[in-house]
Amino acid sequence: MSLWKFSCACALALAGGLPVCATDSAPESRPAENTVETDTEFAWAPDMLLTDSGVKFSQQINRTEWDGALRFAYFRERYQPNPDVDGLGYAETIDEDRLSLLANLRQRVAGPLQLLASASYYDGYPEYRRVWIANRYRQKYDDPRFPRIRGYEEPEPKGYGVGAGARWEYVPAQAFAELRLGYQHERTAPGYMDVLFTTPSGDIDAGALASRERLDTYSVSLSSENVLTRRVRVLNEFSFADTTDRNPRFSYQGSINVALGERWVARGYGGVSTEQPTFDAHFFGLTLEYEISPTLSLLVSGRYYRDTGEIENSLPVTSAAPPLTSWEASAGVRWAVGRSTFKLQGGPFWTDYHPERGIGREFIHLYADRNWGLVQLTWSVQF
Amino acid sequence: MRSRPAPNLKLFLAALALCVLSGCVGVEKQRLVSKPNMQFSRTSIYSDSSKIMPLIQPGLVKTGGAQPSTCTLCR
Repeated sequence: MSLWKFSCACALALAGGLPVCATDSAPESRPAENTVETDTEFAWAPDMLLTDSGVKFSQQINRTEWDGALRFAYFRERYQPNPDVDGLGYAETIDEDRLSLLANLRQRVAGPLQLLASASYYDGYPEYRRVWIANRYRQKYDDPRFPRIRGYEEPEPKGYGVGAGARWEYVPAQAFAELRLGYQHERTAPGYMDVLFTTPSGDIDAGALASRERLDTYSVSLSSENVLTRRVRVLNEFSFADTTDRNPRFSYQGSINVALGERWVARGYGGVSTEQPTFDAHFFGLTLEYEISPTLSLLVSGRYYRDTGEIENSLPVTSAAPPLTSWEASAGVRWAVGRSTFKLQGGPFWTDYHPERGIGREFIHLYADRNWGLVQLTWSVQF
Repeated sequence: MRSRPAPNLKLFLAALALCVLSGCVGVEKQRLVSKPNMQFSRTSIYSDSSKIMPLIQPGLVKTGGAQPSTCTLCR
């Protein structure tokens, strides 16, 4: 087919596709489809153990799809102070965790249109770096060998989020647009700085001044999923997020799935993330999958990540991460047995930080280069 | 002197744009792209994403969120 005829065919598809969407009939009543999925993920380095495990129940009944998930994350870290700037600090093993609840709803309200809603809640540390940083301030201001410094409080990080949106299948089974709006509130583990204050009796005493503890994030994301050819499916995602005391963050990720043959699939992605004044990140990855049999597939993956370091806007002490480069290689297998499907994947990855003047010095052991191992195990059953 | 895009390139770009807007592959020709491992799946079984990697690589966090600790005395 010539390009001209190809273009005409596409134009006709456009002209003819939209009315079809607008009058798409409601799906017929059918039995509920239920899925239970459990997954666990481990990442470890000589002084770190990070895990994230969860169970999710999903159900699809006619026009309604919903899922609910319970997740548990655990962080075990061998904390080390930097003696150059923390003479009283001491090494210790710290354990923290996080419990999360997540729910999603997709309700088809017209043939091509779905309304989306989501909610989430967590109690505990959202990530391992905050565990380390909070311990630094705990040792400094609440050292068991000395009285607690006035102004310091034991952190209780937690947060919740809600989201709403719409997904429009503007050409049946071929083209989808999705818009999501989100709001997230977090109570963080704050940073502290030394201050002097006058007591009621007129004496000068030392204290700790906490940074902002409560943060709000507003986000909007827009995505487009398209079947370009009989072998290629693409997804383009654009996101904006605005967090208290920070400039808006823009993120883009493009993903492409290609059926190289009857048994070969390649899944690639690449993206950028930028936030004023100085944060830029880019990343890409590729997974190759080979289907040995209808129930058994092998996977190999490679990923690359690089950024310019987190936003450094703290005057006396910074906990922001210096520039990071990271690589990952992994291999895995997915196999189906009856109604169950299992996936096991793992491999090494490496983090390489590039310390800069005035950034990362306080937490030089947190932002040390590490050789990690990563394993993911998933089990899904449909009934 | 600036070279002008070839007519065939213009047609190709127009066709590509129309494909993105309308789709060019009928349902009957979507056998390969409809396989579970060709979908942008929300399930971990067919997803290549990781729950832990965004904790280590902050640029993967799309929704913003907080840095590990906020500044106490900001510039």
